[in-house]
Amino acid sequence: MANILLVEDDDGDAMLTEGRLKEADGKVDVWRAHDGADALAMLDNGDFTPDLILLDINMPGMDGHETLAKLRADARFSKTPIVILTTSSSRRDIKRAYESCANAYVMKPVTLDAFRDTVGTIKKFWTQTAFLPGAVVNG
Amino acid sequence: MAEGRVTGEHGPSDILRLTERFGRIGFWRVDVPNEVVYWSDEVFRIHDVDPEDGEPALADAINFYAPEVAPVVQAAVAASASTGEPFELEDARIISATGVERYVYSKGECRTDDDGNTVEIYGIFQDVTEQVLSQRNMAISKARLELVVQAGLGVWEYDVATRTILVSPELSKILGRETDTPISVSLDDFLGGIPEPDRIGVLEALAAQIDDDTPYLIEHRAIGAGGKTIWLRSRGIAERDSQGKAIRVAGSVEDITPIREATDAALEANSRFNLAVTGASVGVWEVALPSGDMYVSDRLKKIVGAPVLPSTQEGRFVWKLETFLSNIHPADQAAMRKAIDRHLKGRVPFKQEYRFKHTATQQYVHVLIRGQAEWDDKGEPIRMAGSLEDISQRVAHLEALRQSEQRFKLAAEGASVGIWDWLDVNRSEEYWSPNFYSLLGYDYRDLTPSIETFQSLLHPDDVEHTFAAVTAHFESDKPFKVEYRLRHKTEGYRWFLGTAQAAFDADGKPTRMVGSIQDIHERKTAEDKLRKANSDLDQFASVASHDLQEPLRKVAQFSALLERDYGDRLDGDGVLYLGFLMDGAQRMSRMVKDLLTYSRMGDAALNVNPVALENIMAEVIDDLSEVIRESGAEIILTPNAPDIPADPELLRRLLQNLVANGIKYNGSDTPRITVSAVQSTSAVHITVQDNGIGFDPKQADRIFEIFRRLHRREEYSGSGLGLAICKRIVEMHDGKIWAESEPGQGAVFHINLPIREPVVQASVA
Repeated sequence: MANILLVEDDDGDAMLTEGRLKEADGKVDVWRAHDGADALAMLDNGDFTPDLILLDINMPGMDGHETLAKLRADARFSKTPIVILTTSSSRRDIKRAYESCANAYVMKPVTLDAFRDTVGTIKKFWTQTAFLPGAVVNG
Repeated sequence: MAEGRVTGEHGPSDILRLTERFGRIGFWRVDVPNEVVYWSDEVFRIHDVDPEDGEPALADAINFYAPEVAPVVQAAVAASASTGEPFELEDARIISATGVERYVYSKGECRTDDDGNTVEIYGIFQDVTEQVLSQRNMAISKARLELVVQAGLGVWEYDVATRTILVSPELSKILGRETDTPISVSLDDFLGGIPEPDRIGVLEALAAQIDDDTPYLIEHRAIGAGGKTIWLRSRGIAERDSQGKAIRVAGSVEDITPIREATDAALEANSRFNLAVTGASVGVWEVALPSGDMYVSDRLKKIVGAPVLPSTQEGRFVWKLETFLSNIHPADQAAMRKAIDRHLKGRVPFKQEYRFKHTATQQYVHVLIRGQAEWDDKGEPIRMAGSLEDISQRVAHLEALRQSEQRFKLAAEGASVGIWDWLDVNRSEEYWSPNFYSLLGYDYRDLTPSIETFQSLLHPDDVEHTFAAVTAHFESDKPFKVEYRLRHKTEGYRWFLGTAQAAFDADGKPTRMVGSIQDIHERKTAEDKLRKANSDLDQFASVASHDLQEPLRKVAQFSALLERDYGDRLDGDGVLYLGFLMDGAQRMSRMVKDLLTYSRMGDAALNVNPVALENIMAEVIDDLSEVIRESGAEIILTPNAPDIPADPELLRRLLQNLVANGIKYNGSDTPRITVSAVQSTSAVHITVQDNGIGFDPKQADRIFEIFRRLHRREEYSGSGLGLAICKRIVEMHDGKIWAESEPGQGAVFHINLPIREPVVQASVA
């Protein structure tokens, strides 16, 4: 079972994303954090090691950029695949995310079908890279 | 007086009215104790006050007098009231209620009561403006005449309309008549005193100046005192009206007989000459060739300041020709040497105007040199002699005249315009008209007019682009038209429009710049407020529509999920409800996207240039290629279209929307869209015509409204923003768009785009 950490403040978006992830691959466990602080607390708790982190940007409290920076600064997660999944199309956000070493920046699509395709692609891509040397895999 | 005889049937009020109207004399009365003023109709007229409005209070009546006169009037009235003595005002200046300057004559008498107190002052009031002005004009003319006469010249003034010449006393004397007043003669009589063939020459030269502004400078013979033939040099310049038509030619005449005789005598005598020359401004010279040893008269030394060198005998051979020539202005040197050369080798008459540097004052003096050489039997020049005259005074006079004429012409063109004159672009000094000062709230004593002062009045943010425009005008003659802010004495910075034109010398270097400033503050601040309001609105629309996307996405996606996962559990109504839900969300999402596009249009910088219509239409056809293919549409562009003054990208969107509409709202098998453009003097007119379904002409204005649709969604898709976007684009270009149609007969869309000059603009942040 692959562990995916979903950091998303909006319950509706969380439900949509989780639903599509499970549709794309039944063998995933999706862990939901409500914002950056929540995510770091969950990781410190040590209940699981994430194979993939999906990170929203616009969250109250600690936003996606701050969370990303903190994760990359932490030796445990400096190589974990992190995908930014957000509504923001701002060039500044994109630039900043890549500069903070996000692996991918994906904008949430409008229609359900497109959303499903996007999430499916993310899942597929990262599970494949799990077999590459150097990747952190668990379970 | 036997009044009855004179007045006959007319009553006193008739007489009064006639006197007023024909004699332009008004009557007034002041009730002294109550300080009330009564005016007759003529007095009202002189003040430009409507009799219906009634007389002003006494204090206000006095304030019609110009500021320098009002206190005097006040004092006179007060004195009269206390002494009972009459008072008189001559040539008093008033400013009427409509701002017209007039001159008046007023005389009043007092009526006292038994105790000797003045109860009433009454009298007449007359408009004497015409008399005052004509006296003044005569005084100006006379003064001008006298000024020029002082330079020791004879002066004449030729009146084009009457074909008469006014001859100054000095000129009369030259022509052999002793007098001390100017004399008027007809042109024919004047010419009678000029022998042929010189007469034709004078007439031709005069005509050339009047018609083509060809400089009038001619030497001719005339009959002088005792019937003797004399030589005159005559210069003149035309005074023109505002249409450029010559009304007068003013000129000066000098008796150059001695000079002509001198050169002739030198030639005849074949020796050095020592003439008593009349006229303080003429010197004489002779140079031996090829040695270059030069003799100059005392007068010439005075004109050009010959160096003090040890002279041999009586000042002979004071100078070498080379030294003399080296004092010529560098720009004139080459021409001088060439003229000497051509005379010595080709015997071309030697007569030139040059600038010489005075060896003492180091200033350049305008001089006229004439000369004649002698050759030996082998044709070698052995000697040359001639005259040198100082003509700087005359040059300066004519130039001053021209300068003040130019300024006056500009000033006459508007009171809300201030004139400035940068007299010499190499120096800082300027001339500013009274209006210039008052537009800035200053008195002429407050500021020294100069480039420095101007710069200190300019808003710091405008300094760079203003002076850049000056440089551009100097270097590439780009029209100088700039908006900038100047610091008003009491009202802070105000916006002005500055326009100007520089004058250039023969080398294309700027010498002088004359221009105007116009207060555009109200217009500019209104424009800027509008621009800011629009920008705020745009920002709001942009942010709002972005934030609206998010909940819309939710509705769209979850209703899709609902349908997918629970659709089979819904009955017919449930499925319908869901359908409406999803449809509504989709439409809303579409509208929000269009709104975002519409609101972002205001951000785009407008880049207006002449654009080739063929190129834009090619892009439009390319972008719509699929739609065109599917509909079988024909897009026609009429040939020889003028260039369109527009931003290329915005023009493309505009035409694309209109063409796409033309195809969409079209029932025929071959939709046909015709685009054409014509140019008028100030604008370009584009039409887009289709053979589609047309629309009710009553809706012609509403179709441009945001989200306005004339058809049901089921029939024709579309957000209802296309034409609103077109209208916005056209308005951003300060143009107009409108449509004509009848149902079933297609539609024509008209677009008018103004052609305009770019203006260098800065805007309020």
